[in-house]
Amino acid sequence: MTNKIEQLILATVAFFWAFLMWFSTAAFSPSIGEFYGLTTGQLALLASSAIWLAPPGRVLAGWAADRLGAHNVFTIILAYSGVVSIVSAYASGIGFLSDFEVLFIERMIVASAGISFVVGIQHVAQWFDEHEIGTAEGLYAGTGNVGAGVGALLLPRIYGTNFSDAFLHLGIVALLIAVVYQWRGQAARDVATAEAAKANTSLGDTLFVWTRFAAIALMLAYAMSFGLEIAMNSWLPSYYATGFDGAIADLGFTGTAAIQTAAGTFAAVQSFNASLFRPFSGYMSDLWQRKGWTPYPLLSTTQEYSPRVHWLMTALLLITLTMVALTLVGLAGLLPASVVVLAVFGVTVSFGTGGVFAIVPVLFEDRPGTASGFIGGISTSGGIVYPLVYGYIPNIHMGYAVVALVFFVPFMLFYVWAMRYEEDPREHGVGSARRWLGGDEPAPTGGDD
Amino acid sequence: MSDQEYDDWYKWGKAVLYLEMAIAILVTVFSLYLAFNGQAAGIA
Repeated sequence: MTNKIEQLILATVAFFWAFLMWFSTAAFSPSIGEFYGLTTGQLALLASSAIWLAPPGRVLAGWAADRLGAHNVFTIILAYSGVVSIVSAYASGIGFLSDFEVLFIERMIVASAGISFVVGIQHVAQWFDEHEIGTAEGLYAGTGNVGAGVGALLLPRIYGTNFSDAFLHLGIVALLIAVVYQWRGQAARDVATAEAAKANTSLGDTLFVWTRFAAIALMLAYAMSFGLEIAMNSWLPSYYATGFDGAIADLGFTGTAAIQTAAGTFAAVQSFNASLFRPFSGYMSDLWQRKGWTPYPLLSTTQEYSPRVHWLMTALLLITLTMVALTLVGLAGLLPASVVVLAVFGVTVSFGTGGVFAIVPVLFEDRPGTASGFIGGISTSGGIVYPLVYGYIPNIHMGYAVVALVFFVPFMLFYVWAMRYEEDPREHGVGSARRWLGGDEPAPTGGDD
Repeated sequence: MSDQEYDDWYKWGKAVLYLEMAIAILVTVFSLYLAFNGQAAGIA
């Protein structure tokens, strides 16, 4: 006997641990760098490698969750990443690979635990009703995401420079969680719901989701929020250390270790707010839905979930405005003001991440894993692209405004265009539902019946 | 849709999300304190 709360707790704890493992390498990067004598370039490569497997991995994991059941896929991910984490505690050269190269490959595999996000999203969607999905998904994703911040804060304090012990213990706990997930987890609240998801996993179903304009719009919205969040996780420490070097020196922080501590503390504001306000965004999406708020004239108002689409539009506008504000306070050289704007920025990012995944399970209720994999996977490319733009712009403060204008404004225009239809937006895309799914019927909407 | 249609978990779920927001605000306040006081704060 189980219930949806147990399933929510299972998914949340497992995802928290997966996120902790995802960013645990970054938490020890100074120690790893010193131990292996790495250059700054090699450290940057190690940091970015954590994101490489996310786009294809999430797409595959989402599809597999629909096909095999989320509890099975989550167990597999925790098991392999846990085993490799344990092995990475004893990394040593094999053949032509050096000690560090072996560690690099092993940690990249461990970091792929982050692909489990879409599995948990699918799992929660299979258990909660439409009117409470925003809050449930928000609690799952927000609490899980903060694993990155908690890891950065606690791991170095617990283990010092002994990253091997940390990797060993993280792996062992991952295996324990995998056992519990397999023991207690169930794919869906009833057989019919699980079967509906399983029945819609053909290549045609996948291409149907990938070619819907609404799915592409939500993917871009997620690239504006979660893609931005992970980009900022890796970019902000060096931004504060470089862009506010004078202000940080004036505060008495001198020497690499002290500057890194200060810059990291300022950067943590983004990570904590973006993660921990995410459940609030899900709650707000539920609230807008309950109140029926649809203030934007160009967006559709006739869909059952239209208020959720309007709430997300609000989030996208706020993200764009705070990006410009970050540039302005940076140019003015105001460190405390930048921290305040960064806090607001984190909250608006959480509005975006929570807002997207309050819509995805509702819009694609029969293909939650495939849709989550596409939207939550491809969008993480933002985590690689935005820092490249920030670094390319000569003035370090201008990057935010440039990304807002060059990427976010077109993304928002596409979102408005894709969500303007008064009839079912799933009917709009490259090719008709009939072409991808076959038969004379439009896309099945399924549900409890 | 009225509140009565929500299960008991919903009230606890909201309590957790308020707690999480409070933690985020505390981290922000700490960071801001550091931005004003720097090393003088003695807590970095």
